[in-house]
Amino acid sequence: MTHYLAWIIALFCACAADRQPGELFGPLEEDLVVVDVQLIVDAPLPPVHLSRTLAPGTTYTAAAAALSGAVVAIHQADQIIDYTEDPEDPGRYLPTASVATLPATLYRLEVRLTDGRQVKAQTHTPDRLQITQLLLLDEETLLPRRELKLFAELGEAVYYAPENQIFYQQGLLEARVAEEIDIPAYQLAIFNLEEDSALLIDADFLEEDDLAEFEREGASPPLAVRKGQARLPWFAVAFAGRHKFKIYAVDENWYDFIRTDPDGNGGGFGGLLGDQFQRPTFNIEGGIGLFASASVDSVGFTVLP
Amino acid sequence: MPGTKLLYTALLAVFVPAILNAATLNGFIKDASDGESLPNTTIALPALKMGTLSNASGYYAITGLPPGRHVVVISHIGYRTQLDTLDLIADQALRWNINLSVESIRLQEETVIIADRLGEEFRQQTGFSVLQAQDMQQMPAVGESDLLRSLQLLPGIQAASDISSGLYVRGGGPDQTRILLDQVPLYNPSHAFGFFSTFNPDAIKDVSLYKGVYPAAYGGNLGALLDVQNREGNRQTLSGRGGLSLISGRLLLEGPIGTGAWMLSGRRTYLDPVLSAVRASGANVPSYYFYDFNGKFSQRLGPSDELVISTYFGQDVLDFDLDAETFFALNWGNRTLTGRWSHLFSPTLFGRFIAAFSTYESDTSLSFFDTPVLFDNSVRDLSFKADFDYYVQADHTIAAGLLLTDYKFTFRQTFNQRQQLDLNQEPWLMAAYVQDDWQATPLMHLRLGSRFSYFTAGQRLSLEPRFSLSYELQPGLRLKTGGGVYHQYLQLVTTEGFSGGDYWLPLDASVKPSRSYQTALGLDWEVSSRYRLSAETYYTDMDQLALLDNNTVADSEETRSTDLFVTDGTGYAAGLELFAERRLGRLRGWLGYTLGWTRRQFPELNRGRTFPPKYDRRHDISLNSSYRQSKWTWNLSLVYATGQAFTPAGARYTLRAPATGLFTDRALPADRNSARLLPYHRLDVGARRAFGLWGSEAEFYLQIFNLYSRRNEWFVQYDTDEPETDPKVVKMLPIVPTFGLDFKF
Repeated sequence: MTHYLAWIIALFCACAADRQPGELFGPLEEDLVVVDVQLIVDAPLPPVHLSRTLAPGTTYTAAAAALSGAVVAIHQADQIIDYTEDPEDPGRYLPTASVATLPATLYRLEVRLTDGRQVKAQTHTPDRLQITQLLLLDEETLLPRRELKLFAELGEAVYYAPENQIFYQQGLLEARVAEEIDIPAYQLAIFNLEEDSALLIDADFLEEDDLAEFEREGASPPLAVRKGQARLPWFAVAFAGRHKFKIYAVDENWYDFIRTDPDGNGGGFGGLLGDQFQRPTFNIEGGIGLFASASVDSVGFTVLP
Repeated sequence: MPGTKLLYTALLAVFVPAILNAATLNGFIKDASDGESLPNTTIALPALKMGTLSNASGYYAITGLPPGRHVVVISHIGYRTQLDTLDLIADQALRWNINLSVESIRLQEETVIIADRLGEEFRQQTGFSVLQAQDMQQMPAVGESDLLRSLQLLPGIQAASDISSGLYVRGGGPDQTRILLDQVPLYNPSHAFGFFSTFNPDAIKDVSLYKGVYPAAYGGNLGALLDVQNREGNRQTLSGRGGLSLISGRLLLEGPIGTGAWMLSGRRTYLDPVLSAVRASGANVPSYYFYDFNGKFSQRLGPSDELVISTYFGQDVLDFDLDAETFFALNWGNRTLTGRWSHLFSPTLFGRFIAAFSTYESDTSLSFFDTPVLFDNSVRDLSFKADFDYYVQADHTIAAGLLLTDYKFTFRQTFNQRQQLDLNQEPWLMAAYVQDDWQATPLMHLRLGSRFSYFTAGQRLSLEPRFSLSYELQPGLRLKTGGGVYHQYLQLVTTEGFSGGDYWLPLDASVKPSRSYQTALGLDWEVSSRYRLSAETYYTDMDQLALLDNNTVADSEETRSTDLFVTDGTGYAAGLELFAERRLGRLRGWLGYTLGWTRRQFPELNRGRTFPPKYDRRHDISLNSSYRQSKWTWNLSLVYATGQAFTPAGARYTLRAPATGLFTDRALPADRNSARLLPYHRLDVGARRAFGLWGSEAEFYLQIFNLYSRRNEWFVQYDTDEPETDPKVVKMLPIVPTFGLDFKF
C-alpha cells in the first residue's frame, strides 16, 4: 500500500500547476476597431480617437494601436461634421469646424477605414444639467451647516471664498441640481487641481506603495441622484487643496459602459474572484469602445488638512 | 357511463384492502441503544413479497396481510438485521415496535457486518444518497469533518473551490439545492465564508440527498434537496460526545427526560485569542469567530402522539478595524425553531404537523476613509406544514400534505448616509402535494405525485407533476427512472468563489419564477451485500432563469426584480454518473465518476451566446476509502476534476475613462467562461486511532488535506499597468495538516 501511495504522490508532484502566461489568454480578438468619443453638452464637438485592439500577449503601444487614414464624420440632423486626422497624433481625428454639442440631440458617428470596414454608433445627448446649491451638511443631523459659493457666483474665485474652505472629513458635501433629467444615471467625478499638495490619508495599515497609488482624480460608478442631491464620499478625496467636483448626466451608451466596465467595478454587488471580468456593453456597430454623451456641471472648493 | 364505472373500479382497487379479514402490522422503529427513531428502515415479509419503509418519524405500517404465521425482516444500514416470526389473526391491527441494535464490529480477520440492504428509497428513487454521520466524520477534512464538504465527494456534486462548502449538484448552482434541517429551510448553511457548514457533525442523525428528481413532498428549488435530521437524544441514558480540533471545540449532551429525550449541542471556534495575539503584535488581522447551537426535546404523549421541539442558531462574526475611519464588520447567521407533533390517527393513517420559524440575517457594515456603507438582508420564514401518510394497502401508500409559508424579506443598502435600496417584501407561499407509492407488481414500483404551489408575489400558480419508477430486472439489478417539474421563487445573491454574507431575495411580479424539467434514468446493481454499482444519466432543462446583475445600479427607487436580475435565461445540465461502492468489510469506500455538461444562455449576457457556468465540469472523479485495522482507521480521498471555466482576456485596448478622461489600458474579456483553468486534483489522507480516555471512547486523528500540495488554480486576474499584459493566477490551498480528538461517553 505504501508503495502505491509513493507512486501516486510522485506522479502528481510531476503535475505542476504553473504554466506560461500566454496560456491564460483566450481566443484572440486583435484588430477590432476601438472608438473613443465623449460628447459634452455645450462643449465643442470633441476629437475622435480611433485605435485597434492588440493581442494581449504582445507589447501594447499607442503607436502600434493607432488607426490612421480613416474617413470620419459626425452627423447631426442634416449637418455633417467631417473630421481630419491630427498629423501630430496618429489615430486622433479633429473636427473641421468648431460646433457646439447641443442638448437633447441625436448624433451619429460614421467611420470608414482604409480596408473598407465601417463603424457606426449614435448617441442622444441629455438635457442641460445645472447645480443650484453646494451645501456642507452636518454628519449626524444631515442638516446644512453652510452654503458654499458656486462658479456662477464667483467664477474661479470660489476656491478662495471663505465658505468654500472645508476641513478634511468634516461634514458631508452635497450638491443639488435644479431638476432631475430623464437619463439612466449620473456619474460623479472629483479632480484635485494641485500638483503637489499634501496627501491627507494617514492610515497605519497602508504601505508606502499603497499610498503612492492614490490619484488626484476619480469617478464613481453610475448613480441615481435622488431628489436632486449628490453627496461626495470622503474616500474620493485624498489630497489637500483645490478640488473640482463634477456631476455628469449621462446617456445610455455612457451608462451601459460604466455599469459593465470591469475596470470600473460596476456599481453593484459581487464582482469578486473574476466574476466581474465580463465584456462591457459597447453599443458600437462594427467595433468596440465608447461613443457617448453627457451634460455636466461642476462646483469648486478647497480642502484643508 | 363506462368511464365513471372504470373510475370507481380504480378507486376501489386503491382504497379498499384487497384481502378481506386482512391484518395490519404497524409500529415505530428505534435504535435499541438510545431510542432514536430510525427512518428509512426496511420492513419486509419476503414470503409475501410485501414490505415498506419507515417514514421520517420511524413509523411504518403494512396493511392487507393475510392471517397466519409470517417471517418479518427488518433491516437498516449499520444495524443488525432482525428476523422475527409473527402470528397474525384476521382483522388484527398489531402494534409492533421494533428496536434495532447497532451491529458490533468483530475485529478478526475480516470485519463483518451482517448484510443489510439499503433502504427502499435507494431502490425506488433516482439520484438518492444517504451519508452516515460516522462515515462523514472519518473523511479527511480541513480542520474538522464537515457534512457539505463530504457530500462534495459524491459523483454529480462539485465544489467551487477549496474554501467553499457550496453544493453544485448536477450542473446547478448552490441556490438550486434546498437545504433542510429538521424539515426547516436553512438559508445560509455556511460558516467561515463557506469553509465549514453550519451542521455540527455530532448532532447529525441522518442525511438524505436527492441529487435530482426529488419527490412531490418537497419543493421550492430547481435542482436538488438535502434533508438533514438531527439527533433526538438518548432515551436510555445520559451520554455525550464531542471533539477538539485546531479550529473549534464542540460538545453534545443528551439524555432521557419524562417519556422522551433531550439533546443539546454546541460548537465554537477558538481562533479569536490567537487572532487577538497576532493583532497585539501589530499585524492587521481581523477578529473572527463562529458558533452554533442545536437543541432538541421530545416527549411521547401517549401511544399515538409525540411532540418534538428543536432549535438551531448559529452566527458568524467578523470585525476588521483598520483605524477609526476604516473598518469592516460582517455578521450573518440562521435561527430556527420548530415544533412537530406526530399523531397516529389509526394504524394506517399517520400525521405530522409542523410549525417552523426560520430566520436568516446578514449585516455588512464598512467604512472606508469615513465613508460608511451598510448592507442589511434578512429573511423570515414562518411555516405551517401538515403531512399525512396513509397506508392504503401493502402495495399502496399515499402521502399528502399542505404548506403555508409567510415570508418577510428585507434588503437595505446605504451609502454615505443615504439609503440607496430599501426592499421589503412579504409574500406568501401556499403549497399542497399528493403522492402515491405503488408497488404495481412485485418487480415494479411506481411513485406518482404532484405538487401545487401559489406564490403571492406575482400571483404565480405552479403545477409540478413528479414521477419515479423502478423495475427489478433481476434480483439486485434495478432500472430506475424519474422526472418532474420544479419552480423556484427565491434567488440567492452570492459569489461562486466562497459564501459568506449571502443575500436572498424573492422574485416579484416583474420576473417569472425559474423553472426546470428534470429527467433521470439509471441502473442500480447490488452485486452483493458488499458491493453496489450504479450508472445514472440525467438531463435537466431550465428556463425563466434569473441571475443577479452584477452591473446593476443599486440606486433606484421602487427597485423591482427586473432591475436587479438578468432574466429570461435558459439552460441545461446533462450527465452520466458512475458509482462503485464497497460498503462492508475492513476496506470500505467508493469510486465515482461524472461526465457532465451544463450551459446557460441569457439575452443580456455574453452577447446572447451560450456559455458554461464556472462550475461546469466535463470530468469529475472521486475516490474515497477507509481501511480499518485493529484500533486504527486509515482514510484516503482522491479528487480529479476538469478545471473550472473562466473568462480570459482576448485582446488589449486603450480607452479614456468616462468623466475623468484618463487614458486607461484595458484587457478585453473574450466570451464568458470560454477558457479553462488547469485540472483540479487533490489527495487527502487521514488516520484515526481509537483509545480509552477515562473510561470513555476516544479517537485521535491526524488528517492531511492536499497531501502533495497541489496548488490548484482558483481564478485569474489581468494586470495592464505595464505594456505587457500580465495574467496572475490566484491559487487555492496548499497542504494543510490538522489533528484533533473526538470522544464519546
